[in-house]
Amino acid sequence: METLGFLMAGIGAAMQPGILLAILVGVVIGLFISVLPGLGPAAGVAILLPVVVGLDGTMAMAALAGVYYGGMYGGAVTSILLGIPGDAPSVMTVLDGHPMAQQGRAGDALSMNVLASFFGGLFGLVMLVGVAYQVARFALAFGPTEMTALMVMALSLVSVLGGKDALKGFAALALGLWIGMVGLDVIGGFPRYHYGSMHLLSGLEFSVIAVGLFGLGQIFAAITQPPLQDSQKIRYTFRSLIPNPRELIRCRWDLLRGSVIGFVVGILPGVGATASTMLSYAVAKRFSRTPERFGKGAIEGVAAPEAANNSASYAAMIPLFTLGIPGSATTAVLMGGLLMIGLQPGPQMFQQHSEFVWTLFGTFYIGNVALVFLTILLIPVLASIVFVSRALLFPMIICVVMFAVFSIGYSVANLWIVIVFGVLGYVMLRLDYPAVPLILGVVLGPLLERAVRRTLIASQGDMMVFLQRPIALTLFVLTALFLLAPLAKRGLAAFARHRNAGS
Amino acid sequence: MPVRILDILVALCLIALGVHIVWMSIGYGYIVRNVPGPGFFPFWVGLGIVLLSVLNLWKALRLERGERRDREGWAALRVVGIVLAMSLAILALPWLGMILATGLLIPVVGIIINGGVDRAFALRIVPAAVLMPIACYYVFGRFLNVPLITGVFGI
Repeated sequence: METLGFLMAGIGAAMQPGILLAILVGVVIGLFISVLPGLGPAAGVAILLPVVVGLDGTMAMAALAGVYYGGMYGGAVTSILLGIPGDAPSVMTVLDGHPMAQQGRAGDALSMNVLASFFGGLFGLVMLVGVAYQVARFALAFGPTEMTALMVMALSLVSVLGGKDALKGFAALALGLWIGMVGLDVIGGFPRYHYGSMHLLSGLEFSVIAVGLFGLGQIFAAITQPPLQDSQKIRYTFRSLIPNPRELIRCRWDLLRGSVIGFVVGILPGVGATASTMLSYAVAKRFSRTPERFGKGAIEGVAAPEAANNSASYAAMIPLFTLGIPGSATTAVLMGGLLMIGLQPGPQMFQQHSEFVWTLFGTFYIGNVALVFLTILLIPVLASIVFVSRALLFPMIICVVMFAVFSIGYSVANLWIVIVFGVLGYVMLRLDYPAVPLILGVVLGPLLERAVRRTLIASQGDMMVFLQRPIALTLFVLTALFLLAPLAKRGLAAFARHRNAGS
Repeated sequence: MPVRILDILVALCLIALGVHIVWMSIGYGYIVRNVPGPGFFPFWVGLGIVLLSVLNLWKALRLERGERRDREGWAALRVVGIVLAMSLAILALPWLGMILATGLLIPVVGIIINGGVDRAFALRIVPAAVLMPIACYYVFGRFLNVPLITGVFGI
């Protein structure tokens, strides 16, 4: 009841014209970004970050978060109408959404997308509000030792699960940790790796790195891909987009299962919304009485993944707001936004900036409701924007990037740095080095170093201190098991092969 | 450039970077007054980069030639073109100012991505090159009060 009271006050505080406008701008940008070729929510949030940090803190974060959860609604529109997923989390929606559209049921699929997104989003929000406050209260007892263990666990999970190659994931993480060290030492203020540059002495600006890696890097990668071809136009009427209560009742368990899976998977660092859509689709098919319909236009195949990815987007915010540990690229950029407006996410934030947190959560509710109407209204525009020429779109985005990056510290040096990180992001994409561990290394590196060194300073350099606190020990053991399990599995398989060959 | 060669080059660069990080970290002080100093964390991070990159290099060397085909080929040259165009725009900022520099950058990047220019494309990119920098000027220069760079023409 206590959290409900906070939330209601937060929703009331969010009902200001400026904040409502920020939500609107954020969710509309999110809808468009999610259907634009080659760009995802991380790129959208990164490019918008320098633009909004000059605004009031709540407005800035409402807009940035709006891009994130708005992106979860829009991606499915092109999946259904064109068979082209707007972003990774809407890939599974193509499987049944597009066949439904080809069968003349585009309206049913689109309305289920909106309904499932709203249901999943609402579930994720209720859980976010219910869980976040409790986790934050529990995490207040965490000292540097526990925070070190948590960060090591999160970074390991992201490095292993965030890409195709764990070795490259860890290499990217280490590179990010080093980039986070450029400038003054976090404990004693000793200058490191600045090479005589005053600009580097104050450290590399996080938002410049994020814009380079996720904005320019993704643009560079997208222009080397072949352009999309216009496909058969799918017809639908606005009347058919009005959600049908009978379909809702029919898919109720798929919506619920998808939302639960989305929440549980989404909260884990590095796993993300895409994995939750795959799992929820598989579960929906497994529980269906007619699994043979899946892949041929089953509405449950749209309901489950769309509920999952929207639920996951809010779940991913729990470790960010309660522990100060982002688990994905987009939440890392959101954390960068919080740091830029002078807020350190973590358990203390619920105490020190309670009004901000609950107002922000209030904006999520308003944004989720607004998205239902906005998505339905903008479907024709969203379906056509995917074919806007990249040769027209990308130069305009690069222009915004130039102005936005310069506005961070009014420095030309930042423009050079964004190009360097753009090229780095592109090379990493080509070589399957995941960028998410790198950006998390940049954000969490200084916090991890501070926690490790403070602990070791307090213990006079005794490493065993990390294993003397039960929570930290449990987290380290879980991390070790997670990292060693695949190696042990591979070793056992090799042993079995060797034994079979011998016999 | 074939992906395999690029993979090897990146691994070698990372090994060199890792060695450099470790070398510098020793100078910063690994242990200072019996507690970890400014070089403690960089030392382990640098060492990690070296070890992981050696393993990545080994994996890349084990790949057969042509096993990973470069699917992007010459298209990657467009990236080089855009990077050069952006660099020139940044170098020209003190003379042209933000509005003119980005106004020229937009059609150049558009032509690089489009692979040429025709009448239909010109009719779309020219208005974009005019309107986009002006819109950015109003958002950043006026609304957010960013002191944008002005060139010799005073804009």
